[in-house]
Amino acid sequence: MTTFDLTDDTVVVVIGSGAGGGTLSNELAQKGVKVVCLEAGQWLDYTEDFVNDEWTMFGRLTWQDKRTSSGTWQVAKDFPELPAWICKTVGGTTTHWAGVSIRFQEHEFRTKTVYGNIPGANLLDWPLGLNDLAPFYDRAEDKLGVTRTHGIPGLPGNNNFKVMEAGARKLGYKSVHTGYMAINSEPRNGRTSCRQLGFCLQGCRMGAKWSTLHTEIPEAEATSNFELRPNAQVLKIEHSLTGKITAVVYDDGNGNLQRQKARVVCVAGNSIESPRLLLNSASNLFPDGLANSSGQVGQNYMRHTSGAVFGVFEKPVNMYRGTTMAGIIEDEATHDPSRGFVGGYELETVSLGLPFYISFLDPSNWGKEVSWFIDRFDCTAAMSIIGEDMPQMSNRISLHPKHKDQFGLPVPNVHYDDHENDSAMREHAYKQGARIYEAIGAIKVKRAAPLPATHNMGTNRMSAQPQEGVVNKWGQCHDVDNLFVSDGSQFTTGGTENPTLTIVALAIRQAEYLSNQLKKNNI
Amino acid sequence: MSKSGFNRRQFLETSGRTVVGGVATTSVAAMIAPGGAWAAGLTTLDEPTADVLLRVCRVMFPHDKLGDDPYRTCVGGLDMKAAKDDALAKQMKDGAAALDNGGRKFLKKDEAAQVKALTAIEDTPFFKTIHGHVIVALYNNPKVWGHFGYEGPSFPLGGYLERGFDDIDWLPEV
Repeated sequence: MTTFDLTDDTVVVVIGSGAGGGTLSNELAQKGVKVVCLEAGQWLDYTEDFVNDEWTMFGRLTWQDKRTSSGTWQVAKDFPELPAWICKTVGGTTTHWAGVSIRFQEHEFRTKTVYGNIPGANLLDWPLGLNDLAPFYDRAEDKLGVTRTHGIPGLPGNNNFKVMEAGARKLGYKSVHTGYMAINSEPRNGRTSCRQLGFCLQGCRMGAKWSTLHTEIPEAEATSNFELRPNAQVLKIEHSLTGKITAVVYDDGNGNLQRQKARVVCVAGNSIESPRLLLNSASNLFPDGLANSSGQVGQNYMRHTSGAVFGVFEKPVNMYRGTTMAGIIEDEATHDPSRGFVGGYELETVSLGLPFYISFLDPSNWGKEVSWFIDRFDCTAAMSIIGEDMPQMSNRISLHPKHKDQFGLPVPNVHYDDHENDSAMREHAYKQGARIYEAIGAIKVKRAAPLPATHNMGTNRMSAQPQEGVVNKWGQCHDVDNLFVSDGSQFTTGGTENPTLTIVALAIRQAEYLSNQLKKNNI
Repeated sequence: MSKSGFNRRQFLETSGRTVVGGVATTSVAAMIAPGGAWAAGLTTLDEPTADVLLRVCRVMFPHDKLGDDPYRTCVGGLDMKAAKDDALAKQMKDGAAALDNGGRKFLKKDEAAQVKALTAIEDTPFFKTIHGHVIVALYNNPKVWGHFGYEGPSFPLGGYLERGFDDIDWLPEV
């Protein structure tokens, strides 16, 4: 294994090993750039440590360091200390993600122009468009092995999908299929194919689902340009008197602080930890936090307008059998303001095992009504709502004034209020979801509130103008040339689509830019 | 009936970081004699308290298809937590006793009256502690899964590819 010295100031330090950091690390290493990847979580062997048990894997994968929440959103009531369901492990949230891989639509890169003035929303056009990203989407889909792209067949539909599909067809929906999934429908590039285990969200025990844990990371390690350091939580990014990044300070997992020097630092800790790290790295030169002259670091936090619909039938569905999220209705994903809101949403199958079913169906309730639903667990189908939510300046990650983490640093507070557009969209989606199940004979339908989000976006957003965002169209900080943001926190707006494919496409694109800049000695 | 609160603590209890909670359910189940009283199991809670808690657990999540054993397992888990937490032990004892106030025993009330009594205390720490525990301990017990048609881990059986992932046969033609 290659190792780099702590004093080696020629390396690129990548913070995080998930969809953004893991992909960027590998792309850079393949181009001959020396990379040290610092991952806060531990390394797990998916062939041994991944088990088909919801609570056990929640414990092994999830970022459980203290966080607080505020705002009027339901999550702050149901899960006050778990505002997001994201991971702290090598591979990041690509261990837990469902595998849904969809390109943004053209208009979703220019929502300020297309949606117009939406009071309360801090909309902004991306500084790039679908045309700029299309070639990188192409490479991302090939890398991930996305079904229904590159000639890869779709996954077979499971019971939960067939129920949703039947109802959707009755309603006249046209674009209904088993999705664009980074889960192999047939063996490809050394990855095996799906055996319909279920438990996609618990880490794929087959390795059929793309995760940087068993793709990008080992590929990078096979070069001599890459070192992964697990259990290395970065606490601060340091800079010189002239404001150039020089090093990062991290806890090495044994309670020792280490300082890794760096030529460039790329932050990919997801949309809560990335802005938190910039804010915690405040200095005399950057009193409001690193790269925060715009004041936008931590702001515009987006989590997708979400929710779930459960349909109870007289006969068995057994929704938990098979791929968790291989089923989609795309018809509502368009921008059609006649529905009473801007932007669109997808309906995607979702399934839960019994232990999580009760915890997410109605987490604060009790009594006969809840038991009635649990008694019919096997006769239940489920779908989730995933829609574009409005960026708002007041929805933000901030440093908690009192609570400190195990390293003595302020914990992040996640504040979120639904925008009225979000609420109108969710109401529309709840109604359509219910109609789908009722069209084929559901005896009862239940709405479930949003869960802690796995889609977290926007808190270091891209902008053409430095005063409107944190990074430029390459993910490079406006204020600091050798500091990059490489995760979903770059998103200017959230789109309707599950974010991972776009994170990967941006990381591939950023690797090209960054390696060229290094070659030209521009950084 | 709402707002008993479910937070990260309950997640953590089952995460393998602590001994008690969902992880311990099978061992607790083994400790408590099936179908019997508490003779083999209780370490900290007294029997009258445990009897009230047993009923509280069932009224909270009533399932006719379940016997008392899974609910006893829940109480066993609370007992194990109480063994390491004096404040929790006191909370359980005092809370159970309070349900008997007014001279009419909680256990002698009919179910509707028991629901009413619990509704009146659903915002108390006593109720929330039990709710947060039971919501995990009752349903994360592999012994109850079969009663609800849940099959548990599938990897050891090769997944569902040849075992009915798409076997639904009652949907209308579309």
